[in-house]
Amino acid sequence: MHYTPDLSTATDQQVVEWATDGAEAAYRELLRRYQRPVFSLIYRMVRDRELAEDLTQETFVKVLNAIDRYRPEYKFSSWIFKIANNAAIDHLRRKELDTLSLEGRPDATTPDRVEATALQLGDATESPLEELEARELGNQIEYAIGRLRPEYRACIIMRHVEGRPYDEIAETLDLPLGTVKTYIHRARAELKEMLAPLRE
Amino acid sequence: MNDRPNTDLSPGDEDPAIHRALSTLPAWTPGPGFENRVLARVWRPHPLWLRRIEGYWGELVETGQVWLVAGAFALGSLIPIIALTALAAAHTAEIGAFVGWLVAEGIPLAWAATWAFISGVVSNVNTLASALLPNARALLLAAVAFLVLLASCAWGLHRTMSAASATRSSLHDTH
Repeated sequence: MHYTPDLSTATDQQVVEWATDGAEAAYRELLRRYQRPVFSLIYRMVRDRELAEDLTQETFVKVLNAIDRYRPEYKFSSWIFKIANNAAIDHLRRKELDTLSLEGRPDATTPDRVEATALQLGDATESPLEELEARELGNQIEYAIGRLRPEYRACIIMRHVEGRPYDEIAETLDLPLGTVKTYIHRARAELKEMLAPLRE
Repeated sequence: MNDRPNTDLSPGDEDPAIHRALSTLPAWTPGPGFENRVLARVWRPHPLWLRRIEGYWGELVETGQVWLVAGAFALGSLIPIIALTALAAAHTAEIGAFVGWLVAEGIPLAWAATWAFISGVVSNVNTLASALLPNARALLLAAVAFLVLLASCAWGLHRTMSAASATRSSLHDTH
């Protein structure tokens, strides 16, 4: 018997508390809240949908199996992003994939593999022209992000795509606040340079 | 959580064009069934009340007090046995009379009642079968129709499930 009030309005800490009491609904709520941002982060880091799904799954399994060890004085989001980022960075280090291509991973040798590792970009917009422009812009940004160093990439995604504050990024990545600011500054400068032709 | 939190941007801190461009990037979702795949690999803790009992039990085992508790339970379970034995010793005459009656009258009475019930059921089934026998052909037709209907339902269900699986696979492929 679990008392689980309206989970959609509960804070992360409350949901975690119910999860530690074994309530399956609380587990599902945490998955619902974080599967998109975690998967998006990992996908942008490793650039392979299948692999990103595996790493996201590993991240959630690790987090949910250790839910009773979560310390509520820290943000749950920082904790899960830290584990997700570590999973992605570990993989990149293992594979030594510092730069990634929009056309698929460099080690993709067959057409199927190239297609599987290329990012699926662009959703329906108002007109075909706008869709084309948005797609082109999205392609360029994704390409530029993919060329950043993994540390810069993680910082810029958390800061600008996920909208996380600097202090949370520092906590998540185990980096000093100053380093995070420097990374983001450098990443922005590199992105600005790479996107310059598009903005002219 | 679905809304992006405040990013504490300041005009001098960010390049608005890059920020705008980055904020338009889509968020992706894992394939269908992701939640269930994760939950299948997650061990969910027992409810709090059960964990308290487990914790208490673990404490007893660790401190060696478990033998004390086990001994208390064993002695406790002996109490009703001792009480019943004492009661029986004090009323041997009454118990003997009851057992005598049970053997002489009670058991034959119970057997006769059971036999009468079984005979009644058999007799009623015979009567029902005799009443239905003239319509044997109709019964056979009904049974065949039922079997055909059952097979049709199974085939329909199989077709529906196959179509659903194909749709799910194609959705997964397009992600």
